[in-house]
Amino acid sequence: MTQYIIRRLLLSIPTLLGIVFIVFVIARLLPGDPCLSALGERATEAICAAFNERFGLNEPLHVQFFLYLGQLARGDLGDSIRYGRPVTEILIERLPTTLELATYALIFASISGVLLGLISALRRNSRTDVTTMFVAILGVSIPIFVLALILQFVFAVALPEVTGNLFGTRIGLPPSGRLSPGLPYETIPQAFGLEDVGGLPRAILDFLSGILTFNFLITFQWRQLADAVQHLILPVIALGTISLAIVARITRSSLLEVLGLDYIRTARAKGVSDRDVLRKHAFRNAMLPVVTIIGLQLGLLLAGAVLTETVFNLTGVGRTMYDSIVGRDYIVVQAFTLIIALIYLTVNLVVDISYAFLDPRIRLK
Amino acid sequence: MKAPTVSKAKVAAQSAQTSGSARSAKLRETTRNVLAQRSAQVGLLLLMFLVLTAVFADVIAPYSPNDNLNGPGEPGRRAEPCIHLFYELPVVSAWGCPADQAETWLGTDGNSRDIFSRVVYGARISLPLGPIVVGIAILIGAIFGAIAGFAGGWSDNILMRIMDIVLSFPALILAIAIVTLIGNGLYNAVAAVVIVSIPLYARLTRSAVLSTRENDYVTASRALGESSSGILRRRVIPNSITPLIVAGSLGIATAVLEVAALSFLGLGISEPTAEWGAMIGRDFNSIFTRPLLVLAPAFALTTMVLAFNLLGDGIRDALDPRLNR
Repeated sequence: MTQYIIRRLLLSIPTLLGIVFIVFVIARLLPGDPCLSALGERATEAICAAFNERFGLNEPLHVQFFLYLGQLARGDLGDSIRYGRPVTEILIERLPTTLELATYALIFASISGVLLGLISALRRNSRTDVTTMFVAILGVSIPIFVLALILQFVFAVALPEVTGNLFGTRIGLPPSGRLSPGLPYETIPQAFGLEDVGGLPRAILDFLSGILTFNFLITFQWRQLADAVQHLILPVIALGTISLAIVARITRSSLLEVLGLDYIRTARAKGVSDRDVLRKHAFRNAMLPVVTIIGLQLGLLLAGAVLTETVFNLTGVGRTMYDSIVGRDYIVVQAFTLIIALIYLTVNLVVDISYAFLDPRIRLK
Repeated sequence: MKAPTVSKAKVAAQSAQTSGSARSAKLRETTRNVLAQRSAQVGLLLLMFLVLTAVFADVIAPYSPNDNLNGPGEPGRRAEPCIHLFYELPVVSAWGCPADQAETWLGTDGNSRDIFSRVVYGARISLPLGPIVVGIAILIGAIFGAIAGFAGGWSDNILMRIMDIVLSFPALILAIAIVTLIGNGLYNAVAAVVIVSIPLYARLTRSAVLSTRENDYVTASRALGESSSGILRRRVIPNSITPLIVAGSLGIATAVLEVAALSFLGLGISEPTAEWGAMIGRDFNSIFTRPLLVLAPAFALTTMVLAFNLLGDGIRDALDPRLNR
């Protein structure tokens, strides 16, 4: 097992270098002058020269690449051209939003997807099965931004209007943002009196504070927690539905395939109850492809975050990346693409390893 | 010396003939299998509806997609729907209007253009994009995959490592980066989605080529002196094509979603062309005030993706032998 993990880790090194290289090349080839887009059209040549000097833009490309590698090795992602701040700072501020969104979406998709697939497979060809599978195919067919807009319309426009007319109280969900405007809250350093902490521990604390639901949970800010959860519901559904549908379909077909195998028939012939056949014999084997597919969802979720964050007006990684591409802030584009690819690569690695853990045939090969 | 040559040619001709008719019989059988799938039937029906809409857009749409309806008796900017028939009716009268005003079924957008006409004409732009993207991606991917699988060695290594790297980015993020690099626009958006789709088809072709290459009939052709490119073209590729068709028919929907996402973000086609993703992206903030402006193209786009998905599912169920249970 250890050997397998080590081999798998070594194999990802060339991919990692390739990613860094491609990200670097794409960022440098972005059309438009970074100086003019950062400082505006009025920047004089002298100002631009100083600017290029400061960001190392005068060096030849290959020198820039090695400078960049050295920077990365020191954990420095560079300074944003537009915001004039270190990218790591921006990342600490905005990655939690996306991470929170994607994690809940993944949890939502996995749990409901597996449940739906299970029900579908057990009641194969029943009305429940047909309905579930039609909803699943509809789920993979609705573009994320379309579902997001429909949810906004239904829960933030139509539902409050209908409940307002019927019961006199407007019931609905907030259509955008992470918290109701003006709602005061404490960050983790504030709540625990750790405001004097600096350096890396402070960065970690700030990062954790950015994961609002986590922050409110451990600092007992219940009203804020309820508010944050309300704001999360619609984006999580919008982002998670495609994955939910994919997981449900894979669970169904995988379980059906396993249930048709000989060893299941043997188990039944031995008199094992339906429940135990499912629990002890079929489920674990049927979960193999499901685990893979759940792991693959992360890429989809990170990409979908760009769309979800745009519609729900959240300043996460996806939205920032889009803004930076439009604003030619290639340092941010470079850093964020790299981080997203890294997260993706790590998750794929974890999936591969857990796959080997679940299936002895793979690690023994 | 002469007789054997003649008979060899004759045999070859005969075998070509039988394999030709066998192929068309197989094609007919496959088509029948596909059409027997409920999902394929529904998908095909939806798709035919959309294709007819695109073909007869001139007839169906009351206005041209870029007409500005600002004249006297015309609705103007961001107008509610105006349907003569509804004017006298009780519940729906909000969408009705007197007969002397120009009719708009879904109202107008911020530039006083008829939303319904734009959605109808949008089919002409949006409908062909998915099949075009997948077609090009399959072609390039199959070439890469065939070279990698057939040649092996360093060309295999280099090609497949590049594919791995492309696959290690979330598709849409890479597509956004590529479009930024080569500039906005419909063709560039299509090119970006093609690039991110290639690795899937390259991998599939490579593994299919690797498994067919070991078959006895390939060894036999090689022993008979057939050239490498001949073996690749006549023996290996025809036998590797099924997984490509299955993946491709399912990939159309994904491609459509990606192109639409780029358009939604304003990286695809530019104004004033009517394209569904771009229409949604331009007006998505109107969901609170004029929902039809967004929901109409959204409905069309979802229907199209659903049609491609259903058809793709049907084709997979019909072609993938592992699923014949």
